[in-house]
Amino acid sequence: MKRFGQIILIIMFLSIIFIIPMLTKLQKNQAISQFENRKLAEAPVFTETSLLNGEYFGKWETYLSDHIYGRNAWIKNYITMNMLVLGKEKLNDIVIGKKGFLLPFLNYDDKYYSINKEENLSKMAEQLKELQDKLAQKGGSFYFVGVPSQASYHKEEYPKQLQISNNLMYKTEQLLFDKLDQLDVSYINMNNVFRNKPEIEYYYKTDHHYNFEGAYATYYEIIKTVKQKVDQRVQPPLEKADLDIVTLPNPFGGSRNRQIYYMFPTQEKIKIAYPKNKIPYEKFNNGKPDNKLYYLSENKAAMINYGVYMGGDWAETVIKTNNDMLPNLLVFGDSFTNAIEPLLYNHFNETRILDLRYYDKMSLYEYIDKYKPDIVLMLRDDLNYGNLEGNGSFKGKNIKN
Amino acid sequence: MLFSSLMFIFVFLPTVIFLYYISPAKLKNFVLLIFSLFFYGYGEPKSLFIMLLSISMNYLFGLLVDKYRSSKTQAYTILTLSAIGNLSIIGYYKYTDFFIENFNALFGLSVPLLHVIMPIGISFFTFQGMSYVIDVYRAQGKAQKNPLNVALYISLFPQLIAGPIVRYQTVAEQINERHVDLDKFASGIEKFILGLSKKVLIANSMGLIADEVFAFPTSQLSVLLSWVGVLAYTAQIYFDFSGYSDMAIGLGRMFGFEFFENFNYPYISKSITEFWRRWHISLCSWFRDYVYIPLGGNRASRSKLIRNIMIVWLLTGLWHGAAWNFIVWGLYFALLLLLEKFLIGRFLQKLWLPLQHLYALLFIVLGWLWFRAESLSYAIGYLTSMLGLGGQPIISTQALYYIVEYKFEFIAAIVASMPIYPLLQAKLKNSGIGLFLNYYIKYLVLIVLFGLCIMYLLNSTFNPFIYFRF
Repeated sequence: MKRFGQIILIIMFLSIIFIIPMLTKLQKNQAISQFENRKLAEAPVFTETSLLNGEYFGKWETYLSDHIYGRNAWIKNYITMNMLVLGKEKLNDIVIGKKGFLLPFLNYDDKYYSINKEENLSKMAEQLKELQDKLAQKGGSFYFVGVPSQASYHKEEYPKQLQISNNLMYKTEQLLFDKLDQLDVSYINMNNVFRNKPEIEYYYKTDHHYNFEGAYATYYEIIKTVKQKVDQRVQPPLEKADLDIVTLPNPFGGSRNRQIYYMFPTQEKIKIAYPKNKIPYEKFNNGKPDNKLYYLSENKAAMINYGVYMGGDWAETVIKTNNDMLPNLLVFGDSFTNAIEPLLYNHFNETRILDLRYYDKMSLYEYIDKYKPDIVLMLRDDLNYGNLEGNGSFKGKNIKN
Repeated sequence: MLFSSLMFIFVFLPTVIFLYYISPAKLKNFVLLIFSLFFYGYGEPKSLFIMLLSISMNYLFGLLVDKYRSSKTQAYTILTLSAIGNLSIIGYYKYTDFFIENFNALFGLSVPLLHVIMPIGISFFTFQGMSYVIDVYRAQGKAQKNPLNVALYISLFPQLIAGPIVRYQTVAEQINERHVDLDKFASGIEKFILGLSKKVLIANSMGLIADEVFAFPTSQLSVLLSWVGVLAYTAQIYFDFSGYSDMAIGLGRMFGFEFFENFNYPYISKSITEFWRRWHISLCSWFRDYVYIPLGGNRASRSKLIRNIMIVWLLTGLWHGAAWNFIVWGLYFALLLLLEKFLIGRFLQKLWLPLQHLYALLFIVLGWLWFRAESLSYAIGYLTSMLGLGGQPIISTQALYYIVEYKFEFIAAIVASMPIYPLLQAKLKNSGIGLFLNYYIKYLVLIVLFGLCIMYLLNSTFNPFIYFRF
């Protein structure tokens, strides 16, 4: 009887350690991980140096980790077990919050603490002031548009023991806008706008971006402010009655849900809007013509994500309505700009959108000198207010010459 | 290479098992040796040369000791030279910079540090090398004529990096002749899976907590958080180290070797003396047999006994690391052992049993604080927080987070620290339930545990990149 158990143990153990590597070798390797949003490791190339410094085998280790047979299934099982059996509220750095919100786990040693330290927020405010002054010298205007992140707007939805970074989120906003006030930098704080109508849900529960309502409110506030305070030529913002709003039938794959392999059930959908009064335009992504504002799937069952808006992040997007009567706009920022772009361009002659994380042809200042926009907007979420990299780096540290 | 890595479990282990078992008996040791050298050179190929130097040196000293054993003086001189040789290697690689730092501090100099990179496992293979020559000298094992056998003894991959320190006398016979049957192979797998589970399912989570808590400045620690951190480290070090030892013992059995147990439920000890009989048994017995007893052991005068204990624990502290906190840690236990031996031992035995456990556990936990802290000043600050003397709050959100989020891991750590399964096994030995448990459930649980370990290991490779657009 004992022997039977031992034989089963030996067979199972040896089967697992022998068969998994064989299947790994036989399967076709994937180049990217959809769930992790990254390239998977490639098999390392042998060099004498890499062998001697230990890098060669280290890279094989990474390669095996990335390509081992059944990796996604194992990880899904891990998440299911931790979520349903162990009742964990934190999985792969995603917190399962109250009311079905998936929020980022922000620990004390999290990068956002170093990003949003007071020194960085001061530097950011100073460089915004410098940019505003420079534009003013050339007759242009600048506005900083601060958007609360999903995590900070819904910080109360963290389980009590995970409300670790709430103070950070309160402080960051206060510190930055106090400094902008001191320096007389023009800004729009969307947190105040959102808080005025708390009955509206501005954020996805399973994605880190705002939803259509959040994007629409941001668009509306920007155009309203620009018209009132900067340029009368700009048409008033489109009311919802002026738009055809469509709810896409596809299942929604939010970025936070992706991090837990879409194991959290959700009924969320993406909404898009077309102006009833269509204005002709030309659009270019990284210099190539591409007239799509929304990237839709013909298969209604296919999972879609926030990338529906403008097809995700592009280094440079240009939309021209060719109406000289209207001013030219330059917007730069992270992916929060994507969802407002399909509405924003209607109000300008030329709308240029830069994502400085990817744009490397010239610095922001050089770009402004070259294209001379009348209005410049910087859009940033509050977890990145103090981030001096990417869209926080105006003078371009990594410009390709 | 780590046992708890995918590379080991899915590439190295199946390959070495396959080649070992298809090889003729004469080649089996050679296969093990080649794989052991690869195992060692995998992460740090340059360190392989240092280990080969240690092997060559000890092989020659073993032969010389054996050759000149008829002359006590000559044999003793050779033994002394081998000790000097081994200690010079470990001294250079492990203690040079520590020595320079202290020399500079003492004499106000600024001799530049050499930044010597310490080869992994040097403390273990050096002690095994010394054990070989000493055991040959004491005629407790034959001198190996074949250098490959000495190389195999010192570099055998199961115990190479983190022990247990296998004494030469323990495996001298097994190197030349050993056997594996179904029982032994299955028990090897059992031990390996249990060790892997300790490491992956408990130690890794506890380590994560400990690392995060010990990264805080002590001024930011609440009382509860500082206790959570040190208790998590207490669990981490036990399950990490004993898990690794169990995996080594299990792997050894798969290839026919039988090593002694290295841990015996140390946290159920009723005194510090008992703790050190249950913790890292191979190191303690090494120091007992090769240092403490030769110094006179227990049979010396009281003052010499105190001296012997102090020397052994100073060396034990230093063996663990080249830093003052390890020395303080060693001396801390020396003092506790002396206290128990001469002052409070009898009193302790009369205490209510739970109080005896509480006493031992408290001082063990405090001991780990010295061990884990990056510096003495940090340890003192941390202790202040634990005692609530720094004006910090009693409870913090962070402490609650660790307790709530890791409650199952803490419970598993507590349960697995106690000999519940062996007790249950003994109690139900001849009953139907006992047999059912032992013959069926145990193996099912082991397979499930192995699956869980793989699942946890794979999830640890999950590495999302939010801002990258591919």
